[in-house]
Amino acid sequence: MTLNLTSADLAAVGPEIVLSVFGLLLVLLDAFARPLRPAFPYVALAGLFGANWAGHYLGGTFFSKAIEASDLTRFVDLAAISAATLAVLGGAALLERDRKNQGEFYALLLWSTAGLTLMVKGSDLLVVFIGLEMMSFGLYVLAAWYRETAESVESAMKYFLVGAVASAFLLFGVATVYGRVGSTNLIAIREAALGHSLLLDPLLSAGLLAIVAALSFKIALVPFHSWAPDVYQGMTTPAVTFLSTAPKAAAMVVMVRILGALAPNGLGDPWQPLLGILAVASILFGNIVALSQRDVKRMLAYSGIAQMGYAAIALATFNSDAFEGLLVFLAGYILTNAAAFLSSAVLSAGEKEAHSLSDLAGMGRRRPFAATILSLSMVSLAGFPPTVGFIGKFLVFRSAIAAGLMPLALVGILGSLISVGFYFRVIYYLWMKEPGHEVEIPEEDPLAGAAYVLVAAGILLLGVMPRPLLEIARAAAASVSFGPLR
Amino acid sequence: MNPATMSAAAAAGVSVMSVAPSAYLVVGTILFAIGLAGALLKRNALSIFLSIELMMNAVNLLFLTYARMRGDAAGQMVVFFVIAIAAAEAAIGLAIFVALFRARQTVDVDKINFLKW
Repeated sequence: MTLNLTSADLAAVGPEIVLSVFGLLLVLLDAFARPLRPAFPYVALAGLFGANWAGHYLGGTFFSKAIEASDLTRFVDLAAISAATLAVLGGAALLERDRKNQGEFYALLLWSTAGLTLMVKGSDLLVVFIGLEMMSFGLYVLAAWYRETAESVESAMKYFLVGAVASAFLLFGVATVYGRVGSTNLIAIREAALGHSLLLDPLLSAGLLAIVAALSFKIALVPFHSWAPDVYQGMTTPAVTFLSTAPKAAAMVVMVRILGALAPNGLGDPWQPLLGILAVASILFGNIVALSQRDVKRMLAYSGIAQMGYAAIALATFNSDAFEGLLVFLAGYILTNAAAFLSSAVLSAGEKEAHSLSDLAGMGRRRPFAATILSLSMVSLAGFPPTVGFIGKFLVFRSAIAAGLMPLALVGILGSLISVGFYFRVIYYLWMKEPGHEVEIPEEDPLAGAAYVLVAAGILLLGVMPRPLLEIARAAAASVSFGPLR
Repeated sequence: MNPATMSAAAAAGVSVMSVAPSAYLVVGTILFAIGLAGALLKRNALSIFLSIELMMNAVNLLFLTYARMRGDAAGQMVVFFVIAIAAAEAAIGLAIFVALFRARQTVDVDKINFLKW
């Protein structure tokens, strides 16, 4: 076998190459040009813009069908690059304050983004696995970024151990699929699955179950969620901004791609109820536990579990309408959750990030700009119009009802009602509660200001005029075919 | 084992027992289960990590067996990638454990409860 590497192959992984090179550049700059440290966020931003520029549309398969580029991968590239950009913009000042503004932070963020986009582009399960690990390795180290702080290292250890078990599960699933089908290539698996109902095979079902469990760990769906609150609480906020958004969205998309390859004729009986149970458990558990949280980051962690539960409804529905809704929902989730973490971080003060709800009291008058962004993101997470959070939820629930999954949609609506309790409590504390104790307020920072304007514009504009987002989501959703339903 | 080596071994007076490939699948699955049990039951972070490594290597054995059964080199190639990735994972994990030990003087997961589990 000869290795044919064409320029089209390299162009297909253009964003990954740019991100990796800029990551290396940042590490070298940190080693040899330390005085340039204040410029590191800008170098990272240049890398992210470069990656976005390098990711022009290329349809087809590359690297002997190991990589697939489509509207879908382009969509996820864009989403991941946006999430990383928001993390850099919002995080630079916080890291500078804590004297943690090192090149490696941005390098790890860029490499993690590269792994994430590679995972989604992989049309071979081996590439998916490598991309997932690349993404996770960066995040493990980012979790331990404040390495003198016990909480930070502790959360890193928990995340690492849980993540490593999940990787082993994914690998077990891939091995089983390989053993049954004879290939790790998703395209070949799909062809094999079109002929026979592969999911009736018990061993293959066990393998798929392992894969679904592993990806559910990364998404933090109940019952694979236990790491999320601890990691969110212990991890530095700029890193959580990325961790809580793009990797979850990417893992969701990968789950759809793998299920689409193994079940090209529709999901069928054991799988649809199973995914439905994951969705219902995540929605109810996440929302109810979030009600009792007094720590904003932990509350957002449980809210994230519930949000991914809504996304899992689309997974259980499993047709192209639902996938389109899922992509819109995920894009909105990335914007909104990033906004929530960034603005709550700025409202925290001092060396130690205190994130209890009472710290937010009265912040509406002291820091009206950041408080407005946090309030807006809460409204969007709760799913009220005119925000992008409403559009995504509406599409997901509508497609579930159209596919005859009324109970799932009802649980989603019930969960949204419960969630109003804790999302609006944040707004109440921000604007109506008198501050109980004096909190030190950090200075305003232009980069974070830019991030706020971006996310606020995104949340509102896409909420009022969702058409552009709907169109690219529809094109992206068409990249996965869902068998007879299309 | 191919017939040539088998007859050579027989000529040398060594008794040869042929093991069915499916036996390796059973061994691999059992090793995976042992690793999983260790990851769930052990209290020391290093032991948990070792158990996870066992799970990874059990999967490697599965890959090799399937590759052998199918006469396909792709499964063997996967193992090289997994070994490399497991090594990178070990580097990161051990670094985190060292940082944790510096901060808390222990790597026992029961004593590391600053955050609620």
